[in-house]
Order: sequence, then C-alpha cells, then structure tokens
Amino acid sequence: MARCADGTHAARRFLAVAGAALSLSLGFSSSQALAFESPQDGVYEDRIDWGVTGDMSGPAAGSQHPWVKGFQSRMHLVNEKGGINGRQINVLAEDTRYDAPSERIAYEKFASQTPVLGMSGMGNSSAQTALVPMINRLKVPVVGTYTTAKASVEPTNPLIYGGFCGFKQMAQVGVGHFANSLKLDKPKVATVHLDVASGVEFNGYMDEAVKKLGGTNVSIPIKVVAADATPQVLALLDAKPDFVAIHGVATTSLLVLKAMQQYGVDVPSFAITYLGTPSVYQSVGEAAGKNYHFVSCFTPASAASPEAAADLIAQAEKDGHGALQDDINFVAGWVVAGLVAEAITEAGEEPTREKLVEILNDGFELPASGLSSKLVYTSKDHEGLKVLQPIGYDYATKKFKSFGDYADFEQYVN
Amino acid sequence: MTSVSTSRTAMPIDEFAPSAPARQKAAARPLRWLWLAVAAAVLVYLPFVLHDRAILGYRLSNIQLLNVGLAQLNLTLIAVLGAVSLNYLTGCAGLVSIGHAAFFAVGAMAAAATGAQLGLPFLVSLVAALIAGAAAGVLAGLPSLRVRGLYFVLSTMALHFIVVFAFSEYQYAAFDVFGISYPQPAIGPFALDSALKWYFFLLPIVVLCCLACNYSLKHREGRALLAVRDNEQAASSSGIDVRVLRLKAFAFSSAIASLAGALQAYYLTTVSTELYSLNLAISFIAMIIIGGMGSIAGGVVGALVWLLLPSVLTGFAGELGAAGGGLAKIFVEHRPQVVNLIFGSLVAVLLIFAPGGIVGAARKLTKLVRPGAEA
Repeated sequence: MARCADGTHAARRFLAVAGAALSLSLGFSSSQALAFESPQDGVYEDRIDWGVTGDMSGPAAGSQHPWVKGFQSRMHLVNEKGGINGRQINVLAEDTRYDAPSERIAYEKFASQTPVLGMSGMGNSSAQTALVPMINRLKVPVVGTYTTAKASVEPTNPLIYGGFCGFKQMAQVGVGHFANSLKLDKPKVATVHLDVASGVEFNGYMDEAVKKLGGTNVSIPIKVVAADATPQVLALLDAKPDFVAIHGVATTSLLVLKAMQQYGVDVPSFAITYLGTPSVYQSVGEAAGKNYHFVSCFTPASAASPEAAADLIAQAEKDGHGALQDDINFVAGWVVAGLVAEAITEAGEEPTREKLVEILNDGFELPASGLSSKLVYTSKDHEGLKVLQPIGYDYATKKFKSFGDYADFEQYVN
Repeated sequence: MTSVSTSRTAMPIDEFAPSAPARQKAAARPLRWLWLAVAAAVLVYLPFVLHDRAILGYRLSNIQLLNVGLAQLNLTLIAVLGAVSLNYLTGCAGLVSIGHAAFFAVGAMAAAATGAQLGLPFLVSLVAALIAGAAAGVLAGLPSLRVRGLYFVLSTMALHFIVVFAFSEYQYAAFDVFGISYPQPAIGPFALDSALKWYFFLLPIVVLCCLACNYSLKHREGRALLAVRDNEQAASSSGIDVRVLRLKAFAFSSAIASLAGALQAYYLTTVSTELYSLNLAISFIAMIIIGGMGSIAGGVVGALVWLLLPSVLTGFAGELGAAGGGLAKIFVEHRPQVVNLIFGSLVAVLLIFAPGGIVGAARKLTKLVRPGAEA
C-alpha cells in the first residue's frame, strides 16, 4: 500500500510539475503572441523609437540644442519610471544644422530607414514648409514642432501638431500687455527682426496687433550675422517708439540692448520666446536688461512653482544639464516630451502611427502644468499652445519672474 | 631621300611595335571596360538596395547600409554637380570663387520664374536655369579680367551677397516669406514623385556633366585653361585669348551649378533665401579640396565624402552609444559634436598627408603599387 501510495504521490507530483510546465509554456507562448510589434512604425516588444530633429551644431544650436536636451531628459525620466506600457522610449536625435536638405534627409530616414512612431522638433520653418507634401506622403506624424510654420497648420494637417508658442500669439500678448501696462491708446512700436522668413512673419503679426489698437509699427531688419546694432538703434531714435519688439537669435538681443543702452534709448522691450535665456540677461547686465522681457507659453523653472518644477530640476541635475533648467528652450523640450509621452500612453498597448494621429486629431488636451500654458488640439486647430505671458528677470535673486498667470493674458489672444 | 628610305628599312622591327606603356594601355583596355560595367551595375542596383534596405532579398540593418538613405544619395548627386563645376573653375581654370552658392540661387530663381510663375514644363525650367547660369557666370567673370588673387575672391563674395539679396527680394515680392514653392516636376506623363525616380533622373545628368567637363579638359580649350592656370603670361604669349577663355570657363561652370540649383529647388519642393548661405559656397570649396583640386574625379569624391561621411560617422557613433560603456554617454549626449570632431580631424589629417586630396593620394598610391601604370 505504501508503495502504491508512494506511487500515487509520485504520479501526482509528476502531473503537478508537468501541468505547471505546460501552463508556463502556454503562458509564455500566449504572452509572446500578445507582445505587439510594428517595426515599420518603430514599435518593438520592448521599446518605441521616436525621432527628434534640431540644430545641434549649426547657427541655431544655441536655442535648439537645449530643446533637444530637455526632450531627452524628460524621456529619461519616463524610462526610469518604467517606460510606457512596458516599453522604453528610444529617442533618435538627428542634427539637421538648420539646413533644409538635412531636414529632408532626417524625415525620410525616420519614415523608412530607422522607422519611428512619430517625431518632434523640425526647427527650420522654411524646411518645415518644404516638407509638408512629403509628410502627407510618408505619414510620419510630427508631434510638437519647435517652430510652427503657417503651411503646417493652415489648413489643419492631421499629421502635424505645434509644440511651441506661435509668432502670432507672441505679437498679440506682447503688444496687448505693454499697451495696457503703459496705458497707451495708439502705441508706437518698433520691431527689430531678422531679415529671414520667420522675422518677416513676426513683423507681419506685429503690424496686425498694433494696427488693431490704432497704433503704428516700424520694421527694422537686422542680419543674423550682424556684429553691431548701431544702425538699428539709430532707426529706433528716429522712430521714437513706446516700446520695442525683438525677433532674432540671442546675439540679436545682446547687440540691440547694448546699443540701446549706449545711445540712451530707455524704452521697454520684449523679445520672442526663443530669447528667454538667463545668458542673455547675464550678458547684457542689469542696466540694459532691467527693461527687457520676453513672452512665452513656457515657464522657466525659477518662475514656476516648486512642485511643478521639481521633476525637471532633479532630472536636469541628474543628466548634467543643471545649468539649463532656467533655459526656456530646455523647458520647451521637456514639455513637448511630456506631450509625446501622454499621446503614446493614450495610443494604448498597440500604438501605431495611424492610432497616434487618431488620438491627437480627435481632440487632445494637456492641462497647464505649471511649466506651460494649456495645450489643446482639435480637429480644426493644431497650434496647441495659444496663451502666453510676459516674463522678466530679477537681477537681485537671479531668477525669472512672471507677471501673473497664463489666464490673465488670455484676453489678448484671438 | 634614299638615305632616309635606307634608314627606314634599316630600322629594327621593334621600333614599329607598340611601346611598353602603349602595350600596357592596350592590355588594360578590356579591364577598364569591365570596371565600367561593374560600376554601372552598382550604380543601377544601389538605389534599390537603399530603397528596399536589402540585397537580393537579404535584409540589411541601418548600420550595414552605413546609415545612408536614398534622399541623401540624391542630394549628394546634386552636390556632385556643384563640386565638379567648381573644380572646373577653381581647380582647372585657377579662378578661386566663393560665389558658387549664388549660381545655385540663380538656377532656383530661373526655375521659379519659368516653372512656378509661368507654369512652363520642368525641362524648360532646367534649360532656363542653364542659360541664366551661363549669363550670370559671364557677369561674375568680368572682374577676373581686371583683378587677381584675393581681390577676385572678394568680387565673387560680393556677387554672392548681391544674388542672395535679389533672391530674397524676389521671394518676398512674388512668393511667401517661407520660401518659393515649386510645382511637381514631370517629364511628360512621367512624374518625378519618388526618391527612386529622382535618382534615375539625376544620375544620367551627373554622368553627362562629368563627361562634358572631362571632354572639355582633354581638348584644346581645356588644355588652354590649364596653361592659363599654370602660367598666364606664357599662355597669353603663345596666342591664347585669356580673357575670352576665362569668361567661357565661368559661363560653363556656372551653367552647371545653376542647373544643380534648379534641380535642388525642385527636389526640395520649397526653398528660401536662407538655403544659399556663404556656408554652402564654402562647403563646395571644402569638397574640391578634400576630393582633389583639378580633376573631375576630385569633385565627385569630395562631394561624396562631404555629404556621406558625417552620416556614416553618425551611424557608428549611435551604435557605440547604444553599446554602453564609458564613452557611450558622450556618443549619445554629444553625438553631433563628436561627429564634427571626428570629421574635422579626418579632414585635417587628409590635408596634411594628402594635400592633393583623396584622388591625389589614390594616384600616388597607384604609382607606388604599379610604377608603370597610368595614374
């Protein structure tokens, strides 16, 4: 009996082990069957490839490289927290050197050479305009552009989603705020702008915003390679504006502000978002920089609430980018990576390019995070971030300061 | 007479036989045709490999294909036209020009006026670009009749700024601030709507332009150009009309560059004034220095290296970054800078050890390996 009992016991043990092995192998094979992959969309079992293009070594690298770093830092954080639906986000960053042909090469690469689920960046507005037909053909969604060309969002393109404050809103908020705070009925404004496509566009929006208030705007072009802004400041002296708007690269602001100080032109000025970096304020010094502001839909870490900026500051330090935490471009990259992560999450466990577009185009919203204003995409509007606020710099504390909440400036945007 | 006749009959038979180099040349001829056939086969099959990312059905990884794509190859072919035409002007005619980006802009403007504004067919736009480029070249060459050296270089730089200014005025007046948009290029019913079609359209054009430059250099005017480059006074005293020759060289070179500009504009679909920076002009000079001045092959090799090597390096830097280890962070976080550093170092090393460029170095190497061979 004992033997028989032993034999029964052994048989039971055998059956239990065999059953466990069978169920394990079944479970393994079924989990393999469930693991979704779509290599042509850059989606693999354990990772999702996402493309980023930006000028990392060319003339706009000063602003676009921090943006790429901000994007990468946010994705590091996402990956450290376990990724999205079990997949790590692999950021493939391509340096396009502010060069239209390089931008095209990168886009085609992301479409088929090293396929990605989607891409972000594309900081050259002319290149972006040129790429619209190709984007429509190759169908890799561009989620969170660094600059938003008119041709990309007018008419609305289901494959392109803005990720930066628009020039139109920059002009509207800047003009509205300064006209209001200086109590001007018919403001006289001068716009110093680069003689490139985006500069001409910004000046056009300034014209519109100023004319709406019955004022006048004088256009003062400047070269991107200018080494001196004396001619521009002499033109400012002639125009006698109530306030000045500046479009350009960081050097443009430095040259204009220093020349304004040299010639005693003491009027308030505001710059486009891209020029909101601590280095501009520190380089020009308090005397020239105290009356200088920028308008932005992003909030530098030092002007944001500690809770909103905590993750950004910690991750920036961890990645060795601590000095960039107050750089508006770094913050912008961080916010756009958050948008991408959210969109991928909503696309579910089996994300594809098509599904991603569906999610974004059907109406997508990211509430104001403390680091940016509210982002809204509808099927008819893909600009995303519409509300901006003016931001200044406090030389005593070496911190940025905002002049209210984003909601306070919504009135200027239409 | 008799003595002459006698001496001829007395001449050893060997004297009438082909000389040793001639025999070598004759023996090398079939081999040369074989190489040409292989090169042609590679050039025809290459785009399919890059398009399908596979060879004979065997799938290749991105790094196995050196991180190169078909769009890159097409833009490289266009750059080859620019580099070869500049090499003709600078390397062969001795006229150092930094106005080559301006000729690209002239081609783009001619194509915009004829193709985008007048709605003329694509091929007509290309012909217009050739004519406009030749005319602009003659104008640009006029200062070469009076000024030399650095002063002439400055005059080509002035040309660059004048043309870029004209381009931006034209763009803003007739088109959008974002640039000039070109219609879909087509040759009759055949639309150039894919990278593959573009490749097979560009390749014959590039081959034809290279052959035209080569033909010119091997004939009277080309040899006269080389003579002017080496010693202007000696060339002039031997009856060469230096002034006319220079203008012809400028017209020929700028016509090709202008054609390349029109092709680039159509390929990119929209171009703006920002594209035609001084950097573009300088990049062509870099291409011919790297490839080798004074030869058509130098222009081709220089353009290939200048446009493709950074991409190859980027691919390998990415692989190293993904592999992990101490250097990985640097390769991932600072990849563009690392790529630029390696690329710059390679160019510096090349210029130190091979001042004649890659083609010059290859010729030296060939002579070392096969002393009797034609370089």
